[in-house]
Amino acid sequence: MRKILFYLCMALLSCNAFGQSAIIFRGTVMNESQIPITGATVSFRDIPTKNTTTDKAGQFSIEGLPGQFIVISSVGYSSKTVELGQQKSLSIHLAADNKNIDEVVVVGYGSLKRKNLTSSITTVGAAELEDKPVVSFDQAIAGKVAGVNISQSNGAPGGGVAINIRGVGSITGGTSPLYVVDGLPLSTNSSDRFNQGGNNFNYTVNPLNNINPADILDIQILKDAAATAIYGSRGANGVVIITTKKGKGEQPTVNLNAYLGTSKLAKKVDVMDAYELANYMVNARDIGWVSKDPLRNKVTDPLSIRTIDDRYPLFMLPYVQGEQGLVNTDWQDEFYRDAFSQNYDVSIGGNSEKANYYTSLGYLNQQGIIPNSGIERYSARVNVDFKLSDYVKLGVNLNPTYINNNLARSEKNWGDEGLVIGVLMSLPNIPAYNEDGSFAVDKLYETLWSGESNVVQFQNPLALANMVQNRMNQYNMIFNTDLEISLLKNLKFKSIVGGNFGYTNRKYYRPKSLSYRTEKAPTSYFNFGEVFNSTISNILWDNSLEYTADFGKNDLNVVIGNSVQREINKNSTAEGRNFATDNVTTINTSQDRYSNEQMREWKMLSYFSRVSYAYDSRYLFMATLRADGSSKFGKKSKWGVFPSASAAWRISEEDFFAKDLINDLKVRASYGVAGNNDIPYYGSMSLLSTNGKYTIGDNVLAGLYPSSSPNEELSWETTSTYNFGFDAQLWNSLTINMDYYTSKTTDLLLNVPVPSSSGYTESLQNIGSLSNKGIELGLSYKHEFTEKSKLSLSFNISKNINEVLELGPGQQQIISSGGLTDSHITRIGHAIGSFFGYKVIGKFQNEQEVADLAKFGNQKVGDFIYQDTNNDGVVNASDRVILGSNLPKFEFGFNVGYQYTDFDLNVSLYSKQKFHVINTMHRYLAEAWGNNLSVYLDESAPRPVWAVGSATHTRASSWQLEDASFVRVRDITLGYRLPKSLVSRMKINNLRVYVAMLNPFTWTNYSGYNPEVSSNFNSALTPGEEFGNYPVSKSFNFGFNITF
Amino acid sequence: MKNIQLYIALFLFSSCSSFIDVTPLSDNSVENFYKTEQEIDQAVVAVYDGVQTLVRPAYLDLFGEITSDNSYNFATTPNGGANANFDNFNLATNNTYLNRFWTASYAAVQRANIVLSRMEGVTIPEEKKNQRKGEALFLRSLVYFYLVQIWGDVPLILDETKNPISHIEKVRDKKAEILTQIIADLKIAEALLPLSYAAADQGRATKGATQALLARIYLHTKEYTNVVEYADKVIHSNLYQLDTDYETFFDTRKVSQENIFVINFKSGTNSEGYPFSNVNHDYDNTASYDLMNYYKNDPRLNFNVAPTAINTFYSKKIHNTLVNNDNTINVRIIILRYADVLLMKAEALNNLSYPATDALQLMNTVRKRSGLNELMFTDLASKEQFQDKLMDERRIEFAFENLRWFDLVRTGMATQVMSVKNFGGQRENSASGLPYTFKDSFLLFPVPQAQIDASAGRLSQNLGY
Repeated sequence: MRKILFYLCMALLSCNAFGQSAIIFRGTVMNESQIPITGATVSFRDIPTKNTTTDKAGQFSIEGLPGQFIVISSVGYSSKTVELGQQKSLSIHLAADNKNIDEVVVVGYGSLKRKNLTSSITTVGAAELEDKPVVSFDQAIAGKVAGVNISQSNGAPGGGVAINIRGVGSITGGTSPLYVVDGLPLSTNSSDRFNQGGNNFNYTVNPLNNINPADILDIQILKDAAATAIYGSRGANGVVIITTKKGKGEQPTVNLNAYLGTSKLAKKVDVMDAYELANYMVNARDIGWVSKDPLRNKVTDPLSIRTIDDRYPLFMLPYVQGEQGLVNTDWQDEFYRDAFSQNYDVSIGGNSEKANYYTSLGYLNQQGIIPNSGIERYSARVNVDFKLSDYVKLGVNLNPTYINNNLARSEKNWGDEGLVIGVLMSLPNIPAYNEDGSFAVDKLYETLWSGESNVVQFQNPLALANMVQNRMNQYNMIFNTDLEISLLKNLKFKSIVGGNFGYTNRKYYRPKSLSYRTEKAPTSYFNFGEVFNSTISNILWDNSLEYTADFGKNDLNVVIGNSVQREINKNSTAEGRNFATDNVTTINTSQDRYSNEQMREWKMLSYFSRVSYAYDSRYLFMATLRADGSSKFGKKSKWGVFPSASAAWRISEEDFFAKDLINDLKVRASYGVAGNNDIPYYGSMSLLSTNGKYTIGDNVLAGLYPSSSPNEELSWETTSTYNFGFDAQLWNSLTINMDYYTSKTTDLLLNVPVPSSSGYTESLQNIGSLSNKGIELGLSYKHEFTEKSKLSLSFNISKNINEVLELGPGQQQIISSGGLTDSHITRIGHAIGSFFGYKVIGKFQNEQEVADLAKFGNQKVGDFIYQDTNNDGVVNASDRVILGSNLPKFEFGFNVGYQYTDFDLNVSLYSKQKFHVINTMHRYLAEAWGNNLSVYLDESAPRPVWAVGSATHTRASSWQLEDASFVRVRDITLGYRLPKSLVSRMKINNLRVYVAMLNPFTWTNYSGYNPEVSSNFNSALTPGEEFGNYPVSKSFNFGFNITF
Repeated sequence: MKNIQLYIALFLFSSCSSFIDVTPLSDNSVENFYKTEQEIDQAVVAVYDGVQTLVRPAYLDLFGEITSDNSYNFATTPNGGANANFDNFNLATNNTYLNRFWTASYAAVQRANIVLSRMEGVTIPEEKKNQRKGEALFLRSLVYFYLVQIWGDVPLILDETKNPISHIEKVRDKKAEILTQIIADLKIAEALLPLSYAAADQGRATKGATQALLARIYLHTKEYTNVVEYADKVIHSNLYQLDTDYETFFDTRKVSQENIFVINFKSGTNSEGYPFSNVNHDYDNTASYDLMNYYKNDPRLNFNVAPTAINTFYSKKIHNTLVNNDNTINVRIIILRYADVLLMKAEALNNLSYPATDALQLMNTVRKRSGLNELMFTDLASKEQFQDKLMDERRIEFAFENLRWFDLVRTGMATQVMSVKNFGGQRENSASGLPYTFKDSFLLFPVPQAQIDASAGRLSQNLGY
């Protein structure tokens, strides 16, 4: 019946125009970058059913009459209405609009119209990810979203990126957000030691590497608890929802993207050259010798009567004597390389009545600046949606990836052959290569072994990087199948079965032919190999019912559903020592072998519901409720309930509101509770150790005893957040989003010391609390100067204040050690993981000062004067104070896009201000043992030490702490779209070439490689430490996009 | 269509909570263990292991020997180090070894408590069950006896801990109460345990071990009649006798009829050997000059100690000259042996009446075994002289067996011996030899600060610390 009426209307409407003869209008729809928009809808304003879509060239033709209005619309763009005139050929430009008022925003378990949103959600569109030569999308959005702190804490290709949404919300639990890809929550454990192995490298590989950024349609960042509470016990750190691309347009569209690039070390660390070092070391060794027996020993004593520790290497002498032209190796220059990268993506997508498809292939090869390191990725994606009937839709997403990571052992200290610190410590007085071009190995070892001098015992880092094998191969499959059935007119049933399967295989081999400091080649003990395998099997089944009703001015949406998830991880290791040869490196050829195997499992059962109601698009309400039952929770607290409620008022829709200046204004308020379930597997149970062995008779019998402490009430950490904000649009061009939030996390997971009379020394408890309060402001502005000249600006700034409110019973603080002993403190009333230590107020200039001033032990002239903060006349551990924090006082990001005719330019920069980094490189680069930081030549530096035993330089103090405030230009992209006339001859719809620079400029006073560094990745207790971490690089890339 | 809706409804609203109960895949857990006889057996082995940890890595010798006049820690660090601070009475309340011993003791107690509570519901033949219960009671009592000798009052925990955080509320129980408890427990164990075992079970607690331990506790409480009663039970069992040769008794580490209860360490790939600090000179437990001088004519001295390359003397009782690949050695650390039972009885008899012929005879029996002359009452003209001589005997006979300090304290000799000798001056090369002024508060060790902190101050500190 309805259909008949409909056809009638159509017939009537077309009659109107009958008198005049229809003309065929042809047109091209393009975006601001002159790229044709495929699949845009072109319809008559007054006859919406009369419509067409643009083809892959963005072209359409439609029959109409002058004076009629056509509306051109496409997802992600502002619609445009054009009056038809005499001109039969039209060129229509649509402006991209992420804030499109009718835009649909993906939220947890469904989607909502943006205008009806009541919570704090930020969208990042595909445009922000395009042309960025990054391995994973998180690297591309640093500084783009207010309140989202993204740090390139490690410069390795594919290395981890630290993301904190609205501050650090946990002390020992994880602080990373939950990632949801096409409705599937990714395993939160894929980057932990259990799945990546632990022994031979220090950084974990980013789990988001499995998702090719080119396949991403958009990213929603759910920030407040009203938005995240529907993810219950996993929502407390925020949720990042990733939606992948769908096909557009009836005709298949082929996209080809490629880039080539090079990257190099962004910045060098200032260390001594060979001459400076020789003088420094000779001086230090002399001081060391004399201080052993000041009455008898003299600087002039020959090396032969000194101990090995007080001798300097003989090859230092010519430098001290001023001989010119001697070996002066800049190890950073020798070591770091210009690394090459290439990336190719090809995708085909289309949309027909029965099916929508998008499929892509990608290949990425990004070398690291450390020799023999890099990442190679082969990825594919198939997204298909079938319309099986009017009632049933079926979708399938498949995303297989294979990643070959070539890892560098960068993050470790010198003793573990950490390459970055080793490069800096290597003596510039020795060459990197022999005359025949081979690596000059063992030079430092020989100096030690011969008894000549005790110097840094580090192998040639080039030999280590090139000869040691350290690979990680990852095979991953993310998949989901979703079925949608319309049960009634307004009632839909949706079921998703999905998951990810991952297999990781690592291989490490340290060859026989490479000496170790305690063993000359061919080695047997330090000839070592390891193979590590792990699997992840993560399966999810969600079922939900969605009821939508639009009656009168009422807009109601109700979702109710449940979810079951199960994840099993398994790993096994085999290690071998003393291989027969270096030719074969499989463990079977080793003499001493060791193996290990572990498994763990986690299950969750959840029920969730969301009700959202809007009246007249003016009064908006939303409430969510989720209950999570998790196997990780203790027996007595199996279920967590997480509610939220939010409301908003679109003042601009009120009659009294004059829309002249402000055309849209919405105020929002929300409250919600979310959890963090990142607690250890089986953490509530008392597990048994099999190490309770004892000899009875003459046999060693197995004994089992509880080794971990039980807690039947162990549960999630709870974060409750209030959020107040507003969204406004002015002059139709300036968008303002502002939020204030205050959140409190209670039930913090802490390993609390318990009286040993319990049989245990500590117990995992939900105890303690902390708060995060902050304010976020986002501005974006668009202006078209002329048709050819268009500008877009966006700016965001955010501030977060973190405060620890409560720790374990009677506990005031937790002191933690990073690379330096007791360098961090988490104290009630202060930010989590603050820097802690002595305050250096100068150095002792003369004996009088040493006698007069408070000092630490038997300090001498030239040592640091530490502030006697409690004025008790001596400096000791109780004089340590909080010295700073790694949490920025505020951060901001700024993005500029400018388009002039066929040229486009994008620049984005971001900044973090007023925070500190502890430069732990001082621990080793200060001892006149290896090379030293150049700052030790400075007037303010303490006297040279080696074997003096003063530890002056290496005690955690304000000396190692630096202000790390920075402004970084993250990327600059300049593109040019080739004229259509040129490319259409090649059957190409669009061809754009571009150059892109990543990290081209960083302004900072910080002296290390990277102000965003964090050696103890994701450890909230010991953040912001530089300790020989894979340096960040800057890259220059050339690329092109082609659309067929 | 209707069916589908029904299934959906069922699925959505059915409760399948058991879905989220999991069993650890790579570990046993308390909840699913302790179900079978074999599992209880393995839990009992863990109690022995717990007691073994008191010797190493918790350093029983720091308390039993190094604090006393017998031995010292040959440490070269400028301030002496945590071990040496036992020797020079410079104990900080946060000394790592204090907390280590306290923690290891209660870990062993917990393991015993688990056996006692969990075995009840398990089907085990009666005789076996009794034996296992007896073993757990004996071992728990042994640990508590060390605890009260070291700290005096300590928390008395007799039940399996299911909620560790609740121990924040625990305070120290009176030493007398603990002694009453362990005497009662040992008497139960005495009734439950067999006299001896077949070879495969050698080393488990026996009836004789409970009796010897009871004798030792009664000697501590000065209930001499009871000492005699329990010593006699051991003697009259006719299962034990003095080894014929003092030297080979230790040197061969053989299963000897003199041993009543020992802690076993077995070197090898199982990591069950006794670890030592240095191949050339184990400096953890070095004979003091006083011991060396005082007993230079006693043949037992040369069987007790041997010189190192750096002219110190290590304990031969512990350290075999043979060094194994895994840097550990085979050794049986003696807890109770027959010579001790004889001397305990002698001491009790002497205290009950002087002159006691039996007492003298017992002391001479022990002396004769090592080729020493028989003593006469003419040499020991009073009860006190007899007692003094007996203590000398005990010192050399049991040197390095972790008895000396406890003997000094229980007899009240500690203050005098440790003050007069002030071993500091004699060992100038050792930081361990820092001078000190002996105070009576040293008779008890400080309660570890970590424990006081963990209890939020509810555990009290001993006087003087």
